[in-house]
Amino acid sequence: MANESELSLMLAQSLSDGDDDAVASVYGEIAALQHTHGDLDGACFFWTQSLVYAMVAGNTALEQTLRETLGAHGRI
Amino acid sequence: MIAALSAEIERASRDIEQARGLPNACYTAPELLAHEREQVFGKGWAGVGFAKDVPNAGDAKPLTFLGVPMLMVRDWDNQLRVYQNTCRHRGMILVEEATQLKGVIRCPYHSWCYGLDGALKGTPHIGGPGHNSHDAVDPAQTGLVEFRATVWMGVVFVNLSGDAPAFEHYCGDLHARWSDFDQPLYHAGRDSSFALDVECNWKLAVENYCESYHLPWIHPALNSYSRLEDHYNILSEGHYSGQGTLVYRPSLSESGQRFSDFKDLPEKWDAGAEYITLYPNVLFAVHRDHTYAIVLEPIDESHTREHIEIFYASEAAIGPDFAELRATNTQMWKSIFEEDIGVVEGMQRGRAGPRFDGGVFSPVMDNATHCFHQWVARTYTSDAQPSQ
Repeated sequence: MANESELSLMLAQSLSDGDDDAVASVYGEIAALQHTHGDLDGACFFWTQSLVYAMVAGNTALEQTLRETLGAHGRI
Repeated sequence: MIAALSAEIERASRDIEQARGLPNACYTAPELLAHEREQVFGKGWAGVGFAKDVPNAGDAKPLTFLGVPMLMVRDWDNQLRVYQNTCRHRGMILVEEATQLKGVIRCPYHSWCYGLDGALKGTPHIGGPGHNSHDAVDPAQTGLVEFRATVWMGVVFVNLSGDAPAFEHYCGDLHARWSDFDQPLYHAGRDSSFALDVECNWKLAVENYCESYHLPWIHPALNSYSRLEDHYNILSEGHYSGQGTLVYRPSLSESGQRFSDFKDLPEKWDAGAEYITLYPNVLFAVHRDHTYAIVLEPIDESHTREHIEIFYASEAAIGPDFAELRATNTQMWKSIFEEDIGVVEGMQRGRAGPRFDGGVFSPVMDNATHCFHQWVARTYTSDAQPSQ
């Protein structure tokens, strides 16, 4: 798993490229990192970010997974 | 303002022998255009764009019509929809330029997301960071504002008020009149598309299009093969008016190359063609081998943008073998429409003359224009839907 600074660079690159699927993926990784660190609020924030870009990309499988994840924590 | 003009507007409603044209203010006053947005364009079906601009599912194109921001979208079921291009949250414009959507429409401000069916699909952080719902906002009540829209002859029509008669009724018998052309239309892209900016009120463009009286003097080349006496008036009170010709025979190619015709056309279209304004703002033409549509976009009371799109009868006609012929055809029409600019702009300047009384009509040659004036006059002052 990439570290926070690597993810930050990847995010900037994906946003610059306009690659919504990649943005969703990177946000998902950041959220997973936050979750691993026990920061649920932080994780939910980044899962939300990931959800937006998954919807924009038309990535319905990822969208569904994120809705279920956020729903399990009462965040949607 | 309408009340102050009521006597002059009433005069436009009289029989053609007694009528005068609409008063100057109808062409020069900004308040009248604001009134027309509600009464003339809003309550009926206005042409706002072309379906060929969103050919595939996911295509979206923003446009502005009379100041109203609109978003034309082809949804995942291939249905063309027109939304107000405004986020339900803070009123931000949703889409700034034509694009191909892969998923939702995302507001660039706070990322509220809408499906192509207009449903509100995402409200990120609405309940605070990482909280994506709130009892105060019901997504089911907060979808995009959708306008009634329909497509006919390649043109996207919108009913802003939402309560106009069904489009088929609004057109009167025009569907039946032109049922021979109820066939697929093919558009070749940029070589069949152009726009003209003219310094006149939109109604003058309609009026000039409706009548053939001016052909010998303004379009002498056209008149050389399609003479004034070959034309006839077309009148459908409350719906449309225009002109037809019995002799449409332009020579586009020295080699004899020609576009293929629409299928199974009756004989009358061998050399016949018709030019009709569907009120308020779409100018149509039908010929044996192509049609065109002109959407008039009022920019202000004295400026109009004419959006012209030419459609062909067969897929072959939009292929590379016909590129030169298409270019010739486009240039022919562009030249004809440019010949009209001097007169529509001259009529606009003429309406600065305070003692111009709207003008008298020729009871023989100006019927189509008078028919349009009667419709406008009635629509200005009527609470009823136009064309009912």
